[in-house]
Amino acid sequence: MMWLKFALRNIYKNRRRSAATILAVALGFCSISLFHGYTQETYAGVATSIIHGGGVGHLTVFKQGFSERGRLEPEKYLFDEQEVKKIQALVKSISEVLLVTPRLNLSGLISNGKTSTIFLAEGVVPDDDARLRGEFMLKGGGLDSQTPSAVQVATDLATILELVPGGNAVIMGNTFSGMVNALDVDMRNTYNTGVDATNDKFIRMSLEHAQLFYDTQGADKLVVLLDNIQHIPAVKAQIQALAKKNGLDIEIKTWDELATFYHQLKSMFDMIFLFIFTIVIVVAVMSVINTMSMTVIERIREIGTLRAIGVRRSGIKWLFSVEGGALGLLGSALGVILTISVHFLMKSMAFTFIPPSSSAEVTLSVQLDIGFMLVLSLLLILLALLSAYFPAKRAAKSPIVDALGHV
Amino acid sequence: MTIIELTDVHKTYHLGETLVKALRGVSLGIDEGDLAAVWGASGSGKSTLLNIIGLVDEPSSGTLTLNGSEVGDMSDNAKTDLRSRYMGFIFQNFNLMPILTALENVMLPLQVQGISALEAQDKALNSLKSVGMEKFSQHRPDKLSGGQRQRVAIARGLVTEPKLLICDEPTANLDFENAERVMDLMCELNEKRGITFLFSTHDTRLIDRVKRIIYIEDGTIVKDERK
Ligand SMILES: Nc1ncnc2c1ncn2[C@@H]1O[C@H](COP(=O)(O)OP(=O)(O)OP(=O)(O)O)[C@@H](O)[C@H]1O
Ligand SMILES: [Mg+2]
Repeated sequence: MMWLKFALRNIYKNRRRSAATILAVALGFCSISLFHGYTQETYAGVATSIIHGGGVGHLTVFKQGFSERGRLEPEKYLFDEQEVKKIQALVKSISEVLLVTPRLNLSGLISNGKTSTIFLAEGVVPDDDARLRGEFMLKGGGLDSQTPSAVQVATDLATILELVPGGNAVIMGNTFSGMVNALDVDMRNTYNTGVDATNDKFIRMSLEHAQLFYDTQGADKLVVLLDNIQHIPAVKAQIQALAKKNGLDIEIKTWDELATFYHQLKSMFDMIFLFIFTIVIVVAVMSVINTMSMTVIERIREIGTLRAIGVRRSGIKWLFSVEGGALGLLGSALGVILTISVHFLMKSMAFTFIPPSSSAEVTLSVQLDIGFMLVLSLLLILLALLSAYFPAKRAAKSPIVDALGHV
Repeated sequence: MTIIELTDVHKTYHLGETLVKALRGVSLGIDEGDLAAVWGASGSGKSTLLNIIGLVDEPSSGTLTLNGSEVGDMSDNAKTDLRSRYMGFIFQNFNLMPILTALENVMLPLQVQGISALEAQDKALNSLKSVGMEKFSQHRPDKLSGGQRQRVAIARGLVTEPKLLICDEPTANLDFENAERVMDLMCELNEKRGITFLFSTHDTRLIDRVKRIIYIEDGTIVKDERK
C-alpha cells in the first residue's frame, strides 16, 4: 500500500515522462487489440462465406472411410436411401440443428454436340440449398425443385461449351452398376467458383437429377447446418454418439477441415499478427524500460536513504516494480479506452472497401474481444513490472554508502 | 552502558590499483547518553567511521559489537532490521523523500517497521512537535528551508526511538543560525530524553557544546576527550 502511494506520486511528479510512457503503452495496446479485432472479424467473415456462401455447412457426415477411398470407389461409400432418411431423422432430432441435407457428387463428360469436356458436379436439394446459402444466393436465382434438369455452369466451362442461359447440353458417364448413361441438362445461369482450377469444370444441379445420372437413390454425404458456429464441437459429438448407438459407421468433418483455404489464410494472418505484436510490444516495453532505468538512476540517493532507515532490498524492488506495473496498468487502461473509442468511431463512420476476389462491398470493422484485452493488459502490466524490477534489483544490491554518495 | 563497540576496525578502499586506508585500527565504544562529536579534517575518515557504526558500510577487518552481539557475519536483511530498530540517521543533505509531506517522511521509518499508518501518524506528529515543526506537517520538503528540512530529518531519525542517532555533518549545509538551532535541538534532546548522538563535524563553533570529542586523523583516533 505504502509503495503504491509512493509509486503513484512519483509517476505524477514526473508526469511528462510518465505520460509519454503511458501513451506508448496505450498506443501499443490499441494497435494490437485493433489488429486482433480485425483478424477475428476477418476469420468470422471468411467462416460465414465458406459455411453459407460456399455451401459447406457447419458439419458434413460421410460414410466411414470416404475421405481416404471415396474418390476411387464412390459406390462403396454411398449412403443408401434408408441410411439417408435415418441419419436425417437422427441429426434433425438435435435441437441446435437447423438443416440436414443430402448431396451427391458426380463426374463425367459434358457435351454441347460439337465439343465435350470433363465435368465435376454437385447434386443438391434446391430448397435446402437456398436455405443454407441465404443471402449468399447466386445472382439470377438458384436451382429449383420444379425443374430438376436445370443446372448452373461455372463461367469458364460455359465459355468452352459456348453455353448461354436457356441452352442445353448432354452429360455422359457410367452408373454405379457400370451402364453408360446420358442425360440432358438445361442451363439456368453461370456462376464463378472463385478458383481458376475448378471454374472450367464445375456444374451444380439438383440431387434428383444427379441420382438419375448414377441410377441411385443414395447420397455420398449429408451437410448439416447449425444455429450457431459455437455449437459445432457439441453437435459433432452428439451426432457421433447417436450414430454409434444406431449402428451407423460414419465420419464427420467440420467446415474448416474441408476448407484448406481457410487455414492458409488464418496462418498467414496469424503470422502477420505475431510479427506486428512482437514489434509493438518491444517498442512499448522499451519505453517502460527506458523510463524506469532513468527513474532508478535518478533516485539512487533515495534508495540509499531508504536502505539506511531500514528498508530491505526486497522493499526497494517492490517500490520500483509497483511503479513500473502502475505505468503498465495506466497504459493498458488508456489503451482499452482508445480501442473502444476507435471501435465505435469505425462503426459510426462505416468505412467500406472491396476485398480481393470479391465483388461485394464490405464494411471495415473490428471485433471487441474483452478476453483478449484482459490478457493483453495483464501481459503489459507484467512486462512493465519486470522492466522496473531488474534495474531496481541492481540498485538494491549496490552498497548503501555508494548510493548515498551520489549528490 | 555501551551500545556499540568497535575493536581494531580497518577500512580499506580500492581505487583501481591504489589502496586508500580510510580507517587504520579504530577501537571505540559509544555509550548510552553520549553526545559525541567526531572531529577531523576533510578526508580523515569521519564519514567512513560513522557509516560503519551505522551498519551501512562494512569494515575490512576488525569487529563490531551491537548490544553485545557481533554484527560481522549477519545477513543483509538482519543488518537492515538492526538499523531499523536501533539506528536513526541524519544526513548532511537531509535526504527527505521529495514526494512525501513532512509528516509522511517522519512516518516512513515506522511504516517500514510494519506499524499501521494511524499509529505511525500519531507518533510522527509527536516527533515533529519535539523539533518544533508540527505546523509544517503537510509541507513537502521543497517548500521548507534548509534548517526546517534538517529538523524534519531529525524528527524522522527520532521517531523510532533509536538507541543511537548518527549524524554525518548535520549542520554543514546550514547557515550559522540554523546550525545553532539544530545544535540546540540535539543538546536538548540529549539532556531531556537521554537520546544518544554521534555526529561528525569540522565546525569549531559547535564543538564546545558536546560532552565528548573523538579526534580523528588519517584514519586513527588520536584523542578521545570527555567533558
Ligand atoms: N567509496 C570510496 N572509495 C574510495 N575511497 C574512498 C571512498 N570513500 C572514502 N574514501 C576515501 O577514504 C578517506 C576517508 O574518507 P571519509 O569520507 O571518511 O572522510 P571524511 O572525514 O568524512 O571527509 P569529509 O570531511 O570531506 O567528509 C578519504 O581519503 C576518501 O578519499
Ligand atoms: Mg564526510
